[in-house]
Amino acid sequence: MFDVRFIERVLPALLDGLWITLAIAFLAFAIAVPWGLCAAILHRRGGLAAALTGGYVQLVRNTPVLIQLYLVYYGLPMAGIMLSAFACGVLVLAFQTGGYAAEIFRGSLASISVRQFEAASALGMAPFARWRHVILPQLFLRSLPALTNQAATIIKDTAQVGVIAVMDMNKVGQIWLEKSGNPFDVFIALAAVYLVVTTVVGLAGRLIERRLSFVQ
Amino acid sequence: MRSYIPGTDVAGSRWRNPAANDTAAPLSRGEFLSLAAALLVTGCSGSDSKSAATALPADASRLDIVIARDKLIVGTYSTSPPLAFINPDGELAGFEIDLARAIAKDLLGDSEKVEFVVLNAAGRFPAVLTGKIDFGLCSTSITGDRAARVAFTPPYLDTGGTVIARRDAGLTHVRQLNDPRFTYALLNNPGSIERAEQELPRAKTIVLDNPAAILLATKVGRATAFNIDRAIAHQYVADNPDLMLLDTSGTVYNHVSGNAIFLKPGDFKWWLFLSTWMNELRGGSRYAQYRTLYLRWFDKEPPPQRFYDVSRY
Repeated sequence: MFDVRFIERVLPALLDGLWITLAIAFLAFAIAVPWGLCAAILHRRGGLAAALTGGYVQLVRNTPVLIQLYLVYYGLPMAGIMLSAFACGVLVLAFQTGGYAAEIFRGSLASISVRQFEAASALGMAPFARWRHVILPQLFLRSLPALTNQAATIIKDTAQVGVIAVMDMNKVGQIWLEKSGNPFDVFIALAAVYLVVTTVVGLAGRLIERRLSFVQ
Repeated sequence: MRSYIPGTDVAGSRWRNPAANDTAAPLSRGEFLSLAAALLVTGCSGSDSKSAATALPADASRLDIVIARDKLIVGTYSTSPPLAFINPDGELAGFEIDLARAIAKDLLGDSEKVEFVVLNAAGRFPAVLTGKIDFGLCSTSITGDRAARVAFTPPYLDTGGTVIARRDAGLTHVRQLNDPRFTYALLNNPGSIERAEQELPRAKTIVLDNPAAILLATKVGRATAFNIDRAIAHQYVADNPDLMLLDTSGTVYNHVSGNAIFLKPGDFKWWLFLSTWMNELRGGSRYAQYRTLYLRWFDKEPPPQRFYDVSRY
């Protein structure tokens, strides 16, 4: 059924593409988390800020990544902005994941009792110190399982950046598929590598969760 | 001759999967993987090629299945004018579309008895290997690697590489592209990638998925030039005055390859029918039909029926 020798030939090429996949996922996630946190905090303030962040979340949740990639990659040059395909991929995935991260943080924030804010104020803590020492540690811990899930999702979403000419692992796989006309072994190899990487991310998330559990 | 199986309703409701037994056997691992891959890659839009067939033997030729189903299911592209594209009326049209209709006419007596499944480059081989389509007719060149995995008929079209550049780039020959200032777009086709590595190692390259994408990339300025099949190139240049064909003389782009129908290997009867049909079209009794189609879509004479003068022998 499986052509093991063929998979052995494909794997080194896929692993070359894996570095691009991981680089995009890492950078996009590194941008998306603080971006989502800012959006969640702004949303909590209510008024215009809440309306804007709500609109942003609706926009990213209700439009496909693929369309966003096309719009940024082909649309920006028409406005005179020429970003590399790699940068377009990072931006779109960060924008997309930021929206989901904002929702994750918003939910976690809602689960923290408002009395904790009041108690920190009563102790004379400045707003920044309140967030830094009281709210954020709990917020991250409560958000961690969902953020880990989002990290795995972003790795899988990178499979779409090939449409804008980024040579990620999936794109390398597509080229091998074209070359060989042997789709199944290529797909099996691709799926196996994605599975290993996302499993490692999931385990790392759980490990961090366990280490930080003392906060609660 | 069309075969009707007693106990079945040709109109549809009692047609069933030819490979299915009445005792609903569980899917084997191979069948499951094949099915999952076909769904993933080609989506769910196309018809299941087996759903309308009758109780034919499990090892029935695709030829018998198509006749029993009374419909041909063909994989095609939709962004490769004049081979296969969406016309202003929103319908699939082109040289390859007409070829598929001509096969349906000869096989089933009606050129309308064909269903087109629009594929992308990554989905075309899985679609045929899983039986999702009866064959693929999507600007596919014969290569040695591919021939090891899928079966090809004789080619229906001589094609080759061309390079189209933005007119404002001021280029005339493809070798002038070999400069880091220029970006060269190409399809994720190993042949194109190898030619770019060989001929244009200094140019930046971007690899995209379909002809429409590389055309758009060049139009918006992401690429200076792109590589495309000769048959498609002339249409693009005719439709876009800001683009021009580059001289490829003396380079690896000056090659000839053959676009052919591809099908699942191992089905000799089906392959023999399609190959015989194609031979007759390109160089036999149906050459006049080939010439008509060629003139219609390429606006020029096709290659001659024979390379020698038949009247002398």
